[in-house]
Amino acid sequence: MKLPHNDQSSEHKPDLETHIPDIIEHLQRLFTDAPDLVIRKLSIMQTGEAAVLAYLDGLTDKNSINKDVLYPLQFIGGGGEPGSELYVTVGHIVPYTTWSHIIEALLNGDSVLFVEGRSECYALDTKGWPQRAIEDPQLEPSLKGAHQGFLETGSQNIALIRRYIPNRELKIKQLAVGKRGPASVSILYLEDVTNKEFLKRLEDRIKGINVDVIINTGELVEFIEDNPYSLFPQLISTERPDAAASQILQGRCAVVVDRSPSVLVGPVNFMAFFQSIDDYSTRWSIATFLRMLRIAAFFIAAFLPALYIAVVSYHFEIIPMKLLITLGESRGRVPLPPFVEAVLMEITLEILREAGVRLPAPVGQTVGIVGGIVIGQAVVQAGLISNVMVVVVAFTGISSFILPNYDMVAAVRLIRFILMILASLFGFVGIIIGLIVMIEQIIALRSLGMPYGIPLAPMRFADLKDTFIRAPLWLMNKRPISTSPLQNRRQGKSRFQEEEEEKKE
Amino acid sequence: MKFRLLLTLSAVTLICVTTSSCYDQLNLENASTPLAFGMDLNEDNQLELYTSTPIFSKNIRKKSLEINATIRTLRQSKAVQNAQSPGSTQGRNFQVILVGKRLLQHEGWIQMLDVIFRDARNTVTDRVVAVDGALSEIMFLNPEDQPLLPVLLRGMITTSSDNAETVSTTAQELHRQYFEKGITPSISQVKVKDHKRILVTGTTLLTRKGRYAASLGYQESILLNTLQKKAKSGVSLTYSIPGKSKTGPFDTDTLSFTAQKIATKIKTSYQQSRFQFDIKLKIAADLTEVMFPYNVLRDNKQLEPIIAGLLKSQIEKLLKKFQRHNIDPVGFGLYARAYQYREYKKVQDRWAEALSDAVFHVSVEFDINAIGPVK
Repeated sequence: MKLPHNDQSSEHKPDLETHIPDIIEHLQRLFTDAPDLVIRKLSIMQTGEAAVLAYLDGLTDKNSINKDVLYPLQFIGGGGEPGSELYVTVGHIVPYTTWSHIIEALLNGDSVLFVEGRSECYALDTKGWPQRAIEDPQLEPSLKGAHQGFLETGSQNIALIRRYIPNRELKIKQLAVGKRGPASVSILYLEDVTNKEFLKRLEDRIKGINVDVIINTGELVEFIEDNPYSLFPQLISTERPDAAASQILQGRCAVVVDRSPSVLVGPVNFMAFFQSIDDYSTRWSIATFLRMLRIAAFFIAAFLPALYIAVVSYHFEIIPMKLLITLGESRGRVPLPPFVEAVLMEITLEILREAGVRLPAPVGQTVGIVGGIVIGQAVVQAGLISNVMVVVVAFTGISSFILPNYDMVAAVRLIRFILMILASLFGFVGIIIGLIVMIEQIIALRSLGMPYGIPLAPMRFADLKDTFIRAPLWLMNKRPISTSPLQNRRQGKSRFQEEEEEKKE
Repeated sequence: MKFRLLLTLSAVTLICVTTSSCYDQLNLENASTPLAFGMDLNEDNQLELYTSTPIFSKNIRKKSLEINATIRTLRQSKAVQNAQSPGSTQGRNFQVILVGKRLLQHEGWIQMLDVIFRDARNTVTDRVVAVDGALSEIMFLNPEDQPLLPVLLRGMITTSSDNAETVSTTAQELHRQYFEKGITPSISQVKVKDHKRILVTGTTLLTRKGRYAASLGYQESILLNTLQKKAKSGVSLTYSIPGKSKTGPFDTDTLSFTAQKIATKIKTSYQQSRFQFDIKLKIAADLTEVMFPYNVLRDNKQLEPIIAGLLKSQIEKLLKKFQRHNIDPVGFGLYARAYQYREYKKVQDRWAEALSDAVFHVSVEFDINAIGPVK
């Protein structure tokens, strides 16, 4: 991966030796205790010059070095004079004259060819590091969408997005983050659509990062998020190229971090966390239903245990008579107060979930079954937990699973515990206070400076077409206002005319 | 930012420390929630309280705990109730309030219910039910083949009042009827038959001060609900048609219908120093049971006025009954106040007496909609 090093190049004067033994000595001095550095001496057949090829074993593609560099140099004669152009069958060749560039090129997987007597050396693009194949996204599987997920190689990820937007207006701003191991961070946007304000804000924030190394996208988010203290995620990280492309087309920016399989999207609003890419590939009626379901599930997952606590310890007058008798019977045998009971069960659920994530898939299933039986049966039979509580926990668990975004699920998990504490202290009043604070938080938050509550607060009626409901695609001719795009219109009248109407004409 | 965080955290800590929690936290399992309470007078005219509380346990065969005590007031009785029940007694889940017949012979018992309205924690959606007989009998009956008494009573009252066969008076509605000058209270009525069966017998009508005045059967209750415009379509009435013959012990002269559309119009006027009420009833009904031979084409037009006449005479009899007992369960006073305010204002404090002097003009229009799929 080529990195921008404009700021460094001006400081460094050419300091490359011309004599091969000097170069080898310099290399060995720079890379002490680096047994993966390969230094290969050879003589070039075309010009008869002595040369040295250096590369880091493992970061380079052996095949490419053997076939495209060593073979043409050593066995194909050309009759060129010393100092003339060399023939290698590698696409990308950059001449360098300073050691700092050479080191960077080596560390990024290029092989560097030094030739006796020349003042420049050549970095050959022979990158080839260990890389997995393209797989189905793990966190965001889709039924009808594409089955390609992002990889750990930034350039590949950009290519995956470009496949969806083959347009020259798709621009890429490349930045480097990290002093010790610079990771290339690319901002993808549509030049004629994306609002430059968001772009500038994103760029400034990323430029302001001064760290050793960025290992993952999640680390980047912490540095550029608007309010890191808030429980709500303010940027979406996705591992789906189609989702990222769709967001770019709506006027948002995507941030691809090299070495990380997830791509950041911003600015986003609260309701965006309830949208899934599958919404657009299924029929609009079922997509609308699923959206409503997700919103309901959000509230169930956040509020149900708190409601249970509030009702059982403060407001049992609202329980219908028949439920009162069943509830009373099951509560009567439980030795724990409702709050302790609920917290215990919710923590058990969290432990089970975490155990399932960390274990390999076959064992994870066993944990699920064992946990389900232990919680569902034994705990109730032993009289430790009431069976109504088990139903409540199961409901919250299932509800939190249908939310499409992992970060939002994580937020809901924490909100649930806060609400449970409030409910145990103040009953319904506490829950209402929690709800008010939550709404206030959503209104006050910003994502890259865009209001997080948009299109509900501030109200943007046009965007409601794709909020609670997912209107038919041919009705959504404009890009969302909330991203304030430069180009408002994204499509013209696309639905064909009804046949009967044609006959009349 | 750090300052703000610190401020928020300290505020949260302060709130949690100072307001440890609401004072009225009470877990369900620590509470004792009577579902029914009743009041009656004993032989010495002392107020007796009865409550029925469900017991939440699988190991105890009997599902409810009945408490009985002689009390001065309801709130004062809380100590007595607590002393006899496993948890803190809460009046939040009452389903029915039972009132004994001896109590109904006295005025002012509705004032004894003050705590129900004044302590907002107490429910006001419980149905008020008059017991035709001693309260101790119904409270301690506990028939083995029936659900808990409150569940049973609430269920019976709900279904009966859905069919308009009794009224469905909640505690709050009773409070309104008691303090509203233009109406007198009416509550559901149950009784214990043969010392083992509980049944709804209709409606108990109370005087302005809450004393027992009269009782209505099922059919009269339906007509009362119709006059109050509370009867929904689906109520069923049965009449014997004069001139049809009976066969042995069987009432083969009867006819039943289910009303589909009921429209009641009441018009008020004041003439010759008396209130006049024009009551127009329009009923469209499906015949659901006809015991005698019947020809649709010929008899339809004849039957309609006959049934209308029967309805009319029964309503008139009912109104006479109200006038005789000086009561106004329909709430004619509300109409009088709305349309004849000047005259009403003069008599509003003795409205029931004024009503007994009023004139009613009843007219009934009856249409047969359908006669069923048999000939």
